[in-house]
Amino acid sequence: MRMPNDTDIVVIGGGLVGASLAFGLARHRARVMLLDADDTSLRAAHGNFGLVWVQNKGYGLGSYARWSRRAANAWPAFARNLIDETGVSPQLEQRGGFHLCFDDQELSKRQARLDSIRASLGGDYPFQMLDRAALGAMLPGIGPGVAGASFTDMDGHANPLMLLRALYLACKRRGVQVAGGHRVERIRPSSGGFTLDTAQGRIDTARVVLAAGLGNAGLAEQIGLSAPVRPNRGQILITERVERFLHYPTPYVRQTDNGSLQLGDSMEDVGFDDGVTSAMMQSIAARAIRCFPALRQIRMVRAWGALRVMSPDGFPIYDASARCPGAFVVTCHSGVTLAPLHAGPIADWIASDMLPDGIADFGAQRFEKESVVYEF
Amino acid sequence: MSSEFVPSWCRLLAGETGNADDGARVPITVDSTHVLVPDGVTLAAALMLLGVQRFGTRPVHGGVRLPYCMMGVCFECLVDVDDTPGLQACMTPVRAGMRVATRGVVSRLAPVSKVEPHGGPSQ
Repeated sequence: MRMPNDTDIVVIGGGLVGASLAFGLARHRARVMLLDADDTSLRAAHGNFGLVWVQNKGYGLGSYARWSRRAANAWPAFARNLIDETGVSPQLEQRGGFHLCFDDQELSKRQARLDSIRASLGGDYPFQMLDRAALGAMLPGIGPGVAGASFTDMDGHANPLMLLRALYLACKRRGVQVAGGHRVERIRPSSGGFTLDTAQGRIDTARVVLAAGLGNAGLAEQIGLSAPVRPNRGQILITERVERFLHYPTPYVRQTDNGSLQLGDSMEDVGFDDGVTSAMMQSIAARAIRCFPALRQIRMVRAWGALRVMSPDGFPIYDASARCPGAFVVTCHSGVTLAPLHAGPIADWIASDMLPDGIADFGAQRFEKESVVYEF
Repeated sequence: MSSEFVPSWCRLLAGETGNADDGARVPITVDSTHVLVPDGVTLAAALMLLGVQRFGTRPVHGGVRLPYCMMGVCFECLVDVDDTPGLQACMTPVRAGMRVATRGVVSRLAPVSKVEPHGGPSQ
């Protein structure tokens, strides 16, 4: 039934999670509005590394490994669909990915972790451990300080900015009302659903989805949800463009389709400071040179910091409000990897209330129990 | 790389011969050619005054690169200066005797960039 509201569904947060959800929700003949705040927002979607990544995710929670894998499998069709609808390519490359290890102890730890994930998935989890010789054959220029790597053909990377652009274009073509400058200050349950007080006035909606990244923590409690997310900073370095030589992504170094090297994977608990530090930039650059010594000869051109949106255990939070039916929260630190599932089964769930397979473990009630360990 | 010199960009844009400026000039070399450029300007401005047609080339997609922002943001004006690769010409003042090399497709990474992608190790 159509409610007497401005709109049927409001997605709060115009990042990768929100845009993926709005893109998917627009298939359901609903009037969808996507609200973005402003340039003071923290915007993980503008600063992330761009991996489509499966390996090592879901240690201790097999359902997250399964979910990540399902997302990676859905990526090729998702990317084709975006290209068909918009002409903009998210530049997906999915030939597999390497995690580089610097000594034998790290290699054996890595193998134990991946073995554990494989066991939790009943053995259906393809990966290989590669020694130095096997690795050298696939990654030219790999440094002598690298002992080996784990490889899975599930992994890949995309251009996160082009992905966001494609999603915005596709949203607009599907009739989503995209509104910037609408920071949501307060959400109140109303007779027909929810009333949102924004920086540019009031909006009434039947349903509301929180996809505001770190902003979810404060919004969730207003509508009977819980999103105890915290920031975790990553710094990223970009080099000048060079010939393509690295045809597979690694979490420390990847090469974009125009030849830039992107270096990263720092993790810092520094609150809401999204700046860069020379010490961390040096450390990231030194590790990249250890991976690929020839990088010593090329120039860094820019760097930035961005804040990951981390739940206490690192896994996504997908939840529907019991107290305020029609309110949902969707938050994770893998907006690129999980985009096809946010546009697919998660959007379907929000539109229909039919809980999709595979997300039963991601409700926020899990945080009511005691200590959980940080997981990246 | 070797540079092709044509009439100054400024003069082309202005559609006239331009005013001769009587300021001091300093000698530099651009792709081994000795030239005189105005003192006190950026290297990017000097190269454009000389009519340099290509600062660099995109390594993957090809295509000539020229200064775009002139304020240190776009990184399209990278050239090699003396022994330093990839300096932003728009942020580098000219200096007497500097050796400037414009940039081609091949970078200093060329020796490691020969292997084509293929499937995973098992394929």
